[in-house]
Amino acid sequence: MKNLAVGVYYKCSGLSEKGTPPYFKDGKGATGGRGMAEGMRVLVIDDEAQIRKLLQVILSAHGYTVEASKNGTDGIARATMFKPDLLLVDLGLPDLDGKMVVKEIREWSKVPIIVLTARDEEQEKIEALDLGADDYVTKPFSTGELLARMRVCLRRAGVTEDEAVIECGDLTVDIAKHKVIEGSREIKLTPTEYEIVKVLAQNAGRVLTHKQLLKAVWGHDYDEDTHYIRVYIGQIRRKLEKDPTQPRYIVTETGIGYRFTG
Amino acid sequence: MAGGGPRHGLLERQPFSAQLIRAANRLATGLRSELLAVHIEAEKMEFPLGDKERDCLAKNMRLAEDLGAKTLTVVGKNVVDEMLLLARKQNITAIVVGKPNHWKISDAFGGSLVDKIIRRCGNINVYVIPGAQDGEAKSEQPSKNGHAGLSYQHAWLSLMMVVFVTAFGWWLQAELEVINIAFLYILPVLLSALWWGKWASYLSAITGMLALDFYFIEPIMTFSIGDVRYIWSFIIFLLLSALIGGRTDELKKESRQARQQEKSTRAVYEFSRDIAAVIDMEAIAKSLARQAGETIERKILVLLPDEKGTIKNEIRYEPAGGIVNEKMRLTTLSEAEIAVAAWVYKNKQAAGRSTDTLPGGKYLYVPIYSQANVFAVLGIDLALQKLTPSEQRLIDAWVRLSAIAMERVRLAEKARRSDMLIEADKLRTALFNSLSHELKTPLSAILGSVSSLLEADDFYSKQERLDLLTNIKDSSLRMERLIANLLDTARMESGMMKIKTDWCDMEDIVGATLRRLGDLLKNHRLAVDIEPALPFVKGDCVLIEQVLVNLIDNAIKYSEKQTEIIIRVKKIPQAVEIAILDQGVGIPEKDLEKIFSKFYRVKQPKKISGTGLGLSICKGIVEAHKGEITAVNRSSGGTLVSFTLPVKTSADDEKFSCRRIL
Repeated sequence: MKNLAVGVYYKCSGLSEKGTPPYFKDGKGATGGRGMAEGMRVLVIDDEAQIRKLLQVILSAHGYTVEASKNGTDGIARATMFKPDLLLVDLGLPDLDGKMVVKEIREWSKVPIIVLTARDEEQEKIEALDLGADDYVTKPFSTGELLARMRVCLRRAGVTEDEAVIECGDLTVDIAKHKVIEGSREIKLTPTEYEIVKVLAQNAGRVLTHKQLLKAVWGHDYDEDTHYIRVYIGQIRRKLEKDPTQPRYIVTETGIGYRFTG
Repeated sequence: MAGGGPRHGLLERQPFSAQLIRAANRLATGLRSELLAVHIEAEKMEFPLGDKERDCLAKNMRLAEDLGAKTLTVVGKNVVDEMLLLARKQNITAIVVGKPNHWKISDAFGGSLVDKIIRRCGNINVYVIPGAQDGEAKSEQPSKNGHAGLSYQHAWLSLMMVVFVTAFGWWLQAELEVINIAFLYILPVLLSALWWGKWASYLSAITGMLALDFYFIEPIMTFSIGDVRYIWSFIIFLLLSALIGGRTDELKKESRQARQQEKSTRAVYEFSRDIAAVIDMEAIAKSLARQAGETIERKILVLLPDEKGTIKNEIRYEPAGGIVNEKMRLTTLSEAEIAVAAWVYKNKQAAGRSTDTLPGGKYLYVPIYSQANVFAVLGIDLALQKLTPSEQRLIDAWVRLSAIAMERVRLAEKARRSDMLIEADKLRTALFNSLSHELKTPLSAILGSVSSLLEADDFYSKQERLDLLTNIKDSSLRMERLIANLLDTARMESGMMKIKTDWCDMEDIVGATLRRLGDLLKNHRLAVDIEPALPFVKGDCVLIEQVLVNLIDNAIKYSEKQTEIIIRVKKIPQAVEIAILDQGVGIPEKDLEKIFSKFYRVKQPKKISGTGLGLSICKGIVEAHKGEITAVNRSSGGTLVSFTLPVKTSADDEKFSCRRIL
């Protein structure tokens, strides 16, 4: 398991689109300007030539240096030589399972990994995430969504110390003072609720699986205990969100976990 | 039967011995002739067949059938006459008889059975096989229940009755003639015959006669007889007693047998009635377990194989608790027992305790099979008590009845499956028709737009280019939804859709659904009404979300812009109900039932794209969660589609909440 807490002061607004499915949006607003990722090296491991081509064009246009590989073994070998700042790994590779690629790379590197999956199978995504992938993007994806996810991962990797204050839109999580403030009002949370909000906020923009959340808050990850997370998230939303049925801060990734968005 | 061909007869009056049948079979194979196994039951038997003999007879008849012989049972006065008559009628070329090991007194007069046959057989060959009668087959005649020999207690009671009659006679000696007293002595004979069988009655007769002589016939107090005519009286008395005793005993035996017979018949009849209308294997197996268990009061197992033929499921009957294993998992059997059951299943032969094959375990296993298939294995716990022959016969009858019923179920299943294949074929055709249209339309739009842009990029204005690109995007999204629906349908059809159960918070799922639908909702007024403190639902959150997405998507598609869509979630007894209400065009009453079937689409004046798969997927998912989905038209116009998801009982909840959260 990766250390989930990073950064000193953190502003998470604009990391991800609000309340809309990725490919129903144009993605223009979230892509940022050209060249903002100047020099960042990305390794794409995908067996589909068309997807490799698409990613190469899009990512190069946004200033990334792109290297592509069409199978897992070659991908792992290239990762050692090319030393990418970020990996995009397809889960359905011809030679070895994408999850295995994630696992092997995690053995020697903390480089951010985003898995691409054409499958609707949540289990695959969860396994990849639990093996150490940082996030996932489901095919077909919009460019905006992919770039937003990549930016979150890259920013996260660049910061090493624990941040003291996390700001997400109107919400401020003050780690030093153990406080959560929405707009101008302070929100009273129980210690467990606060812990959950803290862990989610520290990983803002990134999906956390039920298991990862259990482990971070309670220190264990028994599968059957996901029940408690659901109860707590419900309670937190009632305190935090204006409309708990359409949450803004803590968004459910059904079947996988939760994502904190600004 | 084809006439003329050589035929080989096996004729035996006594219950066949297996040895004899096998020998006859070898001979018949050698001579290339048919084998006919005949059991001749004499009308007037020297002794009625005991349980063991009947049992042995049934077993041997089955053996003969298994070896390919035809079997016949004939009742006749004279065994030899019947045998030869049958042999001529059936065109028999050879007779195989067993030579009894024992010499009988009757053989001295007129010769033994074998001698008689040989003498009168004419041109039929006779083969005599030595040692034909199985020593073990002979039951301890007369068989057990009560009329087995004479117990000390019964002898005592018989003697007491004689003593009582004697005392009574002594007391009334003055008033009664000797002849009347003699009549009184018939009483103990009769009663002891009735109560304790013929041996007790013979004892009463002899002691009674002695007592009569001793106490009442001159000279009194000696066994000598003054008047020689009394000898005749004694002989008549003894004859009478023997007749009464023997006959009463026989009547009693017969009535007991009749009762037993009636009980067995009823047990078989009840079972056959129970399974007559049943159309699934499991129910038949349950009936069998219950019937057998209740009648013979032992632990009963019915083991059912899975599709691959490995024994996986059991139905267990315990004498104390009835059918106890509702989940049907194999639970109690050891590996060795399962191996025996598997052997029985494979070889269509009984094995286990009390048989010659693998007798080590606790259970006797009997296969339930027809000509072509083995359906199940019946296990009977014999650890404490062996089966009586009548129980054995009952079990045989039940097993055959079950086999017939199971065969019927199997055939019905086969017929249904072929129906399903036809149905699947129709489905495929519909699928192709629907697919070609639904896939080609957006594809044409995409290709058209893209080629325009590629070929003449400069020709179009910025706005026109944007329109074309938007068109591409919309068409792609439409294709994506279609493919997702097709994949879901295929997954459901092939049984590959796995429900990953987890706790689902409906509030959470509604939120995720609305987020996923996003911009699609922007043209409608949305009202979300979720009852607070809803219980969690156990189910697959992703699939439930899919149901909601499909239903809301439908509501959007079939209602005008700016109308209201209500999502209402509330607790109902034992379940959570989720309803989607729209103010759209509604569904014609006659179509309400059909909208959940595959490819069914309500005929609309307005062209709305779709495959008719969405609702059938919803139905599949909801039903996989043991819920229900229904659609009704709202009185105010529009449609209400609602589905339920069952909630675990409060007992389960308590179990959950009792666990400590760290």
